Amino acid sequence: MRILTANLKHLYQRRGLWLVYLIVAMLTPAAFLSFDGRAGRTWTLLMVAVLGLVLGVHQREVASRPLSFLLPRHTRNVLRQVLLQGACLGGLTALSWLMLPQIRVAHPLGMLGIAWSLATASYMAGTVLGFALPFVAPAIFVLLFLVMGGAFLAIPQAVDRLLQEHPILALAGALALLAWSWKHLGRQGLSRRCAAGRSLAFLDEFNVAKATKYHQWRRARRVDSQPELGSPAVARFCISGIRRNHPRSILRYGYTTWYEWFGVITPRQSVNLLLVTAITVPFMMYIAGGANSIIYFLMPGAMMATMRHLQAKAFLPVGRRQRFLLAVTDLSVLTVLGTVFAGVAAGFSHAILPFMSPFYVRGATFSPHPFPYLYVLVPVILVPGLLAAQTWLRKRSHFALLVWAVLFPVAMILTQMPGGTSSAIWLALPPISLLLSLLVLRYHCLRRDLV
Amino acid sequence: MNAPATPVIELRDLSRRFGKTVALNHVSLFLAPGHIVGLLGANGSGKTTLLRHAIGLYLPQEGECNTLGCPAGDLTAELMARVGYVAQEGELLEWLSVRQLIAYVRAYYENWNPELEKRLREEFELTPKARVASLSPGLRQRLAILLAVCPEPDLLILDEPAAGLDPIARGQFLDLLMEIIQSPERTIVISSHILGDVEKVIDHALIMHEGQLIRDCSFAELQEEFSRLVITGTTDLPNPLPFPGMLSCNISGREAEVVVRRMSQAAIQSFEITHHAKVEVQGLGLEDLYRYVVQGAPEVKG
Repeated sequence: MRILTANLKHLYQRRGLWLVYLIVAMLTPAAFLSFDGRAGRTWTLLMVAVLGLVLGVHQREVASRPLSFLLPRHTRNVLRQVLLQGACLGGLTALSWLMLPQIRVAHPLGMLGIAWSLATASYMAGTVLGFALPFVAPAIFVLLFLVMGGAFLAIPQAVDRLLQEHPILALAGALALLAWSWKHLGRQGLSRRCAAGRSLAFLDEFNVAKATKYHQWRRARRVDSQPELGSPAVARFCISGIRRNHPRSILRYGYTTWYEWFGVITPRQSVNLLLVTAITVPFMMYIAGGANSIIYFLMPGAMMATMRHLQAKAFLPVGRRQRFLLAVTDLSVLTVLGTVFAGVAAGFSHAILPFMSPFYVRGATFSPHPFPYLYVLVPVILVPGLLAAQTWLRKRSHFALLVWAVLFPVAMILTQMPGGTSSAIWLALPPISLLLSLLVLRYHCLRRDLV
Repeated sequence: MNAPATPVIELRDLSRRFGKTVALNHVSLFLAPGHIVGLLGANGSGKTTLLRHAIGLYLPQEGECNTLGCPAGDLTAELMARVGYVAQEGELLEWLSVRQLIAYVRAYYENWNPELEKRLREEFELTPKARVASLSPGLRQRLAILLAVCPEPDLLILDEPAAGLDPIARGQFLDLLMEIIQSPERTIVISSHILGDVEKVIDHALIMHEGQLIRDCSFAELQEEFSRLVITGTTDLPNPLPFPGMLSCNISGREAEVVVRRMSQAAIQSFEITHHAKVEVQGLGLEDLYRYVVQGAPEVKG
């Protein structure tokens, strides 16, 4: 069997990829239905890039295995593989453009050619990103922001105008991107470099144990040049709390969680978080204020839920009941932190509203809208709910991807409901989510394998 | 092992499956205090699964597992404080410094030995301000051992503790084991496939194979059961040699080297007289013993 054929087989042999295909299949019609003709083209290109990014991570994982890159004639396989996949997807994308309102290019075949080149280039560029980034979850969030930011800056219209008025320029841009991606993916020793670096493998973002271990390592590496982290006073306070309290007291585990969370936070990290909030809140108030601002609350909430998992903590002398207490204190800290953050963001948006005024870009009006205070409940629903799902799916982490995939559509449906129904659901969800989470954590800690 | 009243680990017909794989197959065990027990077996033989049951990380699917007189799944914090555990994949808090991690873990114990901590920190060359994430695998393993040993536990469970250690550190570690076993009530269970190291310290052997406990006996009994006979005759030796239960045989004229099982001293003396030969009885190393036990030792007919 040829190496290329063997590698292409991964595309259906790897079960995790079927989940990706399923999600793409779910999102594709939504992309076409929810956007007008002008916006649709940009979306298809972005979706192809995201697919390239995800498959790029898979490709990196395969290519960086010593068994793979030490095989003879394997060096340029990545390039051939990615180009073949990109070309096929580019063809499909070009055909899909026929369904969108036509743009006038000298010849229909010319439009197909441009579409094919742009989509193939987007796919390959996505793959380059997949190879370059040690973990890709933030990149997917950044692409989402690009979509919103793109709409704000009228990028879809600009893309259509470029295609219509300067097709040769669009083609040249696509070819330049293709050439750059070709050069990057064809570099000698790319696989070796990937193997030497530490990164999260395909879908490992959803494997909480692996993701936590990796992020711990990154965090430690980032601060390695600094002296010991955290305040000695906080450490002393927490450690004396642990000593003072009985091994069966929940207070002991409250101090433990407190120490693990706050004993090591640097002032710089706190300032960075405040800065990011101060910049992103006004931006979101213009492009997705009011009901749509839920997206702002979903992302940090969802990320927070992935930050912790029920570590076995074999070095601590705790029984299963105490592990449950640790899980409860962990859940409480995460939920409270998320809620405080959401409260600060919502309060800040209301506080700065009087100082913000509408403005106009290319005939469109952008008005600021504050974040509804109701969304402070998002972390209270999201953090326990996601933690429960991830705990339950601990050994089938790929399925956690599905939970994430339905998260945004469900949240958007909630925001579109009539006021009374929506409020009732919003108020009912936090206790349900908390109860569900407690039951799952209890079952996990007392009745399941801990490693 | 004679069964005393309070076993540190007691397994009764313990079975465990992972999908179609049988990791533990009706394992029964009664481990008395005051021993250094070697848990031996190939990769995938069920050693780690057994140890994880013993500290309650896994729950039995069939049978029972009691540790320190309590079902392992119900071990309380107080009982867990009497158990030290070094895991194969030592998971530590990466962002803390060595000093911070030790202070953190120490807070959980009332009987932490600070002198031992100080000594081990120096012997293991652990820099207090080094961040855990920056430690090499060997240093991480030393830190994990320090954290497990300093509370002076009644039961110390070590799952492949020497795998990441260099020869010098392994020597220090084995010396440490010999030192801490001085307490008669303390039990150490050490799982390893570096048998050359283990045989220096263990006094009891548990041998696992394909999820079954195929041998549970003292190390001395195991050594007595198998022996190597180096035979030097005055004339050519008979071929085949008339030893029942012969496991391997290498004859070359007047000399032969034979491994036998349960050979009595009387039988050896009788052979010496009959064949005018000199027989030297040698003990087998743990690696050979393990091989003969696991391979089921098919007898050689000469």
